[in-house]
Amino acid sequence: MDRGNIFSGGAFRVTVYATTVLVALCITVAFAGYRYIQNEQINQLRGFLAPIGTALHTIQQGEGDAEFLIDARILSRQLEPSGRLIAVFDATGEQIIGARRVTPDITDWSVRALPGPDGTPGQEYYLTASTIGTHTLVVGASLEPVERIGEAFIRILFLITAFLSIIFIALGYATSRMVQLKLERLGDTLALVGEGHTDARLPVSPANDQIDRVARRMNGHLATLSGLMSATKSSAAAIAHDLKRPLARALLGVDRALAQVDKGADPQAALEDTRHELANLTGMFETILRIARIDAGHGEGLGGSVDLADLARDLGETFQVVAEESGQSLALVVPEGRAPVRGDAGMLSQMLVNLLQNAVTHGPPGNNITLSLTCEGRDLCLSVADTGPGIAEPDRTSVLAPFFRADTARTTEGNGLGLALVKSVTDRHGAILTLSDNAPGLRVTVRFPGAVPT
Amino acid sequence: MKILLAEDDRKVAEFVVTGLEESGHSVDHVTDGREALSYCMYNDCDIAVLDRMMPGMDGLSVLKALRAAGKGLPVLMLTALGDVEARVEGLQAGADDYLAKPFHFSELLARIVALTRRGRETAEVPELKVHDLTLDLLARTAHRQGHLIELQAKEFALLEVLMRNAGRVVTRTMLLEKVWNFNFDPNTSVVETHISRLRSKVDKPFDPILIHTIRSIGYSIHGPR
Repeated sequence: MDRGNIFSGGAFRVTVYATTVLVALCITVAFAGYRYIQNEQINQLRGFLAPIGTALHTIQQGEGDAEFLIDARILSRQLEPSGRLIAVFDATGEQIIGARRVTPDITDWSVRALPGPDGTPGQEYYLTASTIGTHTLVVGASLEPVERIGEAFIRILFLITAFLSIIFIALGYATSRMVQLKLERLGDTLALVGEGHTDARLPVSPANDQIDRVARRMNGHLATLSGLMSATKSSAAAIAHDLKRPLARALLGVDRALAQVDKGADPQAALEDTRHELANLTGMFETILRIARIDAGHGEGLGGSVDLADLARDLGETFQVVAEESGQSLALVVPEGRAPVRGDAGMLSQMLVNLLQNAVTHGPPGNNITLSLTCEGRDLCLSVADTGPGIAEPDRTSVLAPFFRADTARTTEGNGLGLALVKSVTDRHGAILTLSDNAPGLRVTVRFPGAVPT
Repeated sequence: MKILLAEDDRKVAEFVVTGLEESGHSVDHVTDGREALSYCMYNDCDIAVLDRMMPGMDGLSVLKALRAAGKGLPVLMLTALGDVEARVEGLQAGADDYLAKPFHFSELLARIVALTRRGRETAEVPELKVHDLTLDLLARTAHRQGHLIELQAKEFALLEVLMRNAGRVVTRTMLLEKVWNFNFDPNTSVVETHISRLRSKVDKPFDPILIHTIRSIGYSIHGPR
């Protein structure tokens, strides 16, 4: 796996941003915190040192210079080891108390670096001076503990920041890597599909994260796609097969006509057979193109209004004649009045013609066909029922596919496209096409939902 | 009759020109939409046959331009197979008729003849007559040799179309369009069964036979010749 892909992954980038923000935040907190701690410490020092000066001052005033100097010396010795400093200067400016060398020229609280008693490098002291009688008193404290606390604070903060940053980055890397792995698997699967393995499906983990949900949806689309592809493959094969037959027969007809011409006989009959086959072929192409056109327009609105009652009456009368001619009968059950639906008159007319012609073509003499238009709730139902051989339950869906012909229908006329066109027209009109058992026979119902005005 | 054919497919054009000339018409052939338009603007012809898809300018645009220029000559549009849905568009643009390729030559000829006749016979006649058969268009009744013939609506419409084109061939497709308003081949015997019905009423009880079958093309109604 390419590491660059992981580092460019969204999860990783987000953690890098988050870590940067965290570090910046920590630096700010460290700076402010350090300053705050220092101030607090210094205030504490002042709180400790100021009373000492006041106390020594009180002693000098109440009990005189000698007592003051004794107490100052004792205090100086006691406090010196803990980093405190008490120094006293006499009127000449000579330091008479205090191990650490200091100068009395201090006016207010200030920070000075003082050399150690044995000449070691200087330490910072926080100092103030005051005049007591003829003497000058300097009190102060080493700033070393203050700095130690500040440094400890910064060190802890640094450790926490480093620790969090490492955890963040690691988590980001891991997440990014996981996402990358998943995406690569998706990519691999899609590549497989692209190569023609339409049955390949994307892996879906039980985690059900965003990628899994997308993968699940893509799997749904892939299933539709592979269904369409196999349908296309099989219908292409079916088209080739079904178009080959009339072509082969037309070729035979031409050969027969040529043979007749050779013999000096009249080739008219053979040529007319050929013409008939070619006309059939043209009709099939016409229907295929028509279905494609209707399907291609899917989703576009149909502007017109078609009176189904009028259409049913008109075509019913026409097909009554056709049915009677084949020794069958057609009953028309259409109520008076209008039954308008939104749609295309040409398409709906062809739909009904196909249904009626199917009933006549596949029905035996004595077949009773009923064309009816009924209201069911708010739906308009147009149905063609016959008492013919019907369609076996398992075939009822497949007859709607182009070129499908039930085995029982192989011997009768037709090109296997009639019901496919009906299906396209009903789909285009948002109508529901159902094939059911008329016991005996077939009932085809086209339901136009919500067509009855309230 | 002078016919303009605008068609860019050389084979189709050759076939149509030969056929029309054999039928005694004079044909001018152009292969380009713009040529077709300028021909119609500056020459007189009885009918223009325009292919819908042409280089330069498509048939529909030529037709629209002609109608916009006030040219009222009959126009027959030719279209590719499966383009029948575009028919409405063509008719709205002012085409007088529409024929899908591939077509049978006799179909084209029958339509050309019907279109050019239409112009001359616009005066509405109350009655059509072929030999001893009369069709009263107002009372919607048919009489032959003094007998009233009972006709259903479709049978009447069928007879009317045939009689309006008496002596000429009316193709099966033309009947489907004019009587049933089908712009598709329903792959049925609708025309045949209705003709058979009509014959049993109009021809069977009488002599001579008036409705003639023109094999694999259509029908024609005429008296004895």
